[in-house]
Amino acid sequence: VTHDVTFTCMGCDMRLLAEGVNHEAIRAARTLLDAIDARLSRFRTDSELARLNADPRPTVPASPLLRAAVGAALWAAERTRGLVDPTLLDDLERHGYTGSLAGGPRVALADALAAAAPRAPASARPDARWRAVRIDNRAGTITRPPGLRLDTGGTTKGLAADAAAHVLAGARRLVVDCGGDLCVAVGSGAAPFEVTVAHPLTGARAATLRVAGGGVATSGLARRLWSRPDGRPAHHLLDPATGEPAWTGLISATALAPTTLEAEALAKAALLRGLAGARRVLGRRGGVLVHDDGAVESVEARVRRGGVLVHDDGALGATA
Amino acid sequence: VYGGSAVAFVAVLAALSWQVAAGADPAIGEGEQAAAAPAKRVLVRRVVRRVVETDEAPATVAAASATPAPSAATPAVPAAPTTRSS
Repeated sequence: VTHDVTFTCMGCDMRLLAEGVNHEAIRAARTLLDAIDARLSRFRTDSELARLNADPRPTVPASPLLRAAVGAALWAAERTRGLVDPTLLDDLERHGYTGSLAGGPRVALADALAAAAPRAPASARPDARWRAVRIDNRAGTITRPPGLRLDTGGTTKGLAADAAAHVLAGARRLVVDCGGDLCVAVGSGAAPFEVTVAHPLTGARAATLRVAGGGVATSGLARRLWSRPDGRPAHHLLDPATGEPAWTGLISATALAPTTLEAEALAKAALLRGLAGARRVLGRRGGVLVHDDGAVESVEARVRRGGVLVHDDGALGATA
Repeated sequence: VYGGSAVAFVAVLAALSWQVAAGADPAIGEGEQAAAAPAKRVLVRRVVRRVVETDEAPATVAAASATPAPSAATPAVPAAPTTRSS
């Protein structure tokens, strides 16, 4: 039996594509994703994350799920040397990202690129505020400086995809798609998946990745894009050092990694680093970059693990 | 004498019979394990079934997505998974 279940969650389109699991497992995975959405959304005032951010105490009791989500965000910050920073919520809201942007961009990407600031790579905040956040799993608490609010949105979908795939472990072939961030698992002897990389300007296929396992994630400017009151375009990927939307010369970066959490972190870091830095970020396991002008570039993997990149013209390249 | 011999013979015969029946024939030692029964061949008919669930009517495909939302009319082969900006 092949299950192919689509639904909306976390403001995104979700998909569970699984062979060789029963309906109860599918239901359990979906329940988990809904719970993650309810507990970790910063747009729900009753979510545990929103309550943590509103709590004036420096140390706050936190559920295992919230501790895992904050822990994942801190891990991503460490992994990307502060580029994927979970402490930029004030800046995001200052630019107008105060509610879900589900439903698509408010501004066309091509128009935003034409009006955007000069291109420059992003960099981490020198004070690395995220390092001040502490998780105590024994006490079941999270400690952070008063007033420092956390946003786990940069890593939650990857974490959720990995967690849902864990619930569906044992599937012969499996893809958990959390808004375009994929966790792939293929059993012994089963065929790998051919994953399409969508072009951020056209929606057409930019490349195809043949993936037998692990995470695939894309970070880009196309979906969460809006106009600020002064007319300048804004998007959700901020330069941590300036707190401003990052215009780096890239509009999309796709990363492969052993987990979706890591792929999501690497994709964001690649986009924020700009072209030269992105090639280094993606160089270990490979990936795909889309430049501002729409050009598609595949990044060859230094570590080959069986993945194959198939371009539209039929050319092959090594990936994960 | 003959009567005693006959009784002794019957007793020894009974003991040997019991040993043989128990699978411990003193002449051949412990009997080999019975050969494993040949595996039953079970003919399995593979039934391929595909379950498609959607919450809502398929939405308009977003500009940055190349994945059509599956519906009840989805063809037999599932749409390729797509990674995209989220």
